[in-house]
Amino acid sequence: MLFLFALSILSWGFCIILFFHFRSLDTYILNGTFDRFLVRPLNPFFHFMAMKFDIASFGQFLFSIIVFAIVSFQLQLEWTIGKILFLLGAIVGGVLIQGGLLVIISAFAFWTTKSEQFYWVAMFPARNLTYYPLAIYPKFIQWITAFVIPFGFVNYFPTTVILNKETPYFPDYMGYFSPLVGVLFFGLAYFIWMLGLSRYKSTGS
Amino acid sequence: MSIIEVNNLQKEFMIAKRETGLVGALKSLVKREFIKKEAVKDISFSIEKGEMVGYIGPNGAGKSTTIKMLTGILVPSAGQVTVNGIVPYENRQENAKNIGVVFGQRTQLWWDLPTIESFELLKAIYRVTDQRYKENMSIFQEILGLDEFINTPVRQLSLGQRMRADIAASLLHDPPILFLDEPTIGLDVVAKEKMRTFIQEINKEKQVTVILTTHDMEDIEKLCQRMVLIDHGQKVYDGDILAVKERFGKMRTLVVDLEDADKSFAVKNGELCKQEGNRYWLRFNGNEVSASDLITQISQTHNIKDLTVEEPEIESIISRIYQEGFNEKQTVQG
Repeated sequence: MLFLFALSILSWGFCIILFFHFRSLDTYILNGTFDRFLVRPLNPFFHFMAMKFDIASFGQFLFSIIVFAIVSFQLQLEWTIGKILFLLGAIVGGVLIQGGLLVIISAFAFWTTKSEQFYWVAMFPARNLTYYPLAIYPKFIQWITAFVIPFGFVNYFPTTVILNKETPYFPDYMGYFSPLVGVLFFGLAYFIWMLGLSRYKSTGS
Repeated sequence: MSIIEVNNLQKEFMIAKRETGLVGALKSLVKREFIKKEAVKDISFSIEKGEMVGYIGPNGAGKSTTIKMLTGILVPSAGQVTVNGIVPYENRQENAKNIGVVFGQRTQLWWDLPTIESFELLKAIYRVTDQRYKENMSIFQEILGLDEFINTPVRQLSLGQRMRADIAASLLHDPPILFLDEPTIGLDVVAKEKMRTFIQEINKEKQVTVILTTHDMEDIEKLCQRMVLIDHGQKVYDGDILAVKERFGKMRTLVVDLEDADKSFAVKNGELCKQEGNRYWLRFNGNEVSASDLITQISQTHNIKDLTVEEPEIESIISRIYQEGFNEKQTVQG
């Protein structure tokens, strides 16, 4: 349980440093300040991302590292090179998946000019799911977290691999796909964001 | 070839029609009706290198929409645009290197950072060489006086300072084309003057092509040789600014408050166009008679309590052009 939580907030900590800025995209669009990103010779996606790194989230990041260290000490895990590499992969995957969801939600602002509410109906419930082992949820929800909004890959599947636990409905090696799923999901998010951008350009305000 | 070519440019927006009340709100959830709004109907012009063009029109005429299409922010619904040989919306990032943009109402600087840091960031973004950066900065500091506030965070700058910093920022990468969207809005007279001098200087020395939108007739008079006037998404006039100025810009209105009402109040060279109680509106042509002549004339026969001289606004000039046409003096440039 604690290990699940620790892994979840560890990748979340990274994620908000990098991607939390996307939450304010709707304000930028509403104020018209978003135009500025379009008159610069840079990819607007990365320009917008780099615009602001959330300093405040370093606190969370630090906190998550400490929790993670305590937990792995208490569980007396044996850290082999392979496991460390696996863990890094899982974190990268987790960051990309959660960042991807943030990006997708922010992209809604291109259509609706308001996306704040979507964080509450999609982002935070999805994050809450990751605090508990997926095995306690109905099969339907497990299926969603594996294939639709792949939050199962943020911490649950990697954890089962590291701790040698069984997953009730899925093969045990699911956790190894975390980085791959992360890259794919983030790619999808990027594509949706760009699609939104092209819509913005032909409607504007 | 001209540096900016615009041919039959059009832009339509679809605006969702909302009905009022709860029933209307529910209805619009199920079936939405859209109204087509043509922001830019059919605009063509071409601008040569080094020209300074005033692009003017009343609010909602389609000025900003045109500028947004020229900068690549918006994709046109129909028609062709090329800016320095590049189609902006197809190749936005390439186009961005050739243009500088100042939106008078929104800063492009980093709100929380000291001004100098914003410049450093822009230097990195546009890959400006150290040498060029130094040269440009010293020019800006000389003419715009950036020194006094270069280390102040942008959010603490006054509007005048911020505008100066903004225009300097937009010219850091030596763009051949500069778009200024209401660069003097909200500035006081001194700051406006500084701004204009700088724009003139830049245009002369670096041969920067400037497109300027504004509501301030003085901006246009002082800066531009040519103006493009649009209204309701269509071009009303394109040509020499002097012709417009002579014909319409010199019409001023003198508003006087007299001690006593006078039914037969009349002034030579002034046309009485409105009266409310003791207040009289006199329209006069500034080429024929000066305001002070009129005032002396009136004060000989009446006691003046108060007076003001109203400058013609672009809105009224446009409506006059509409009413009277521009027939014999129209000189549309190719």
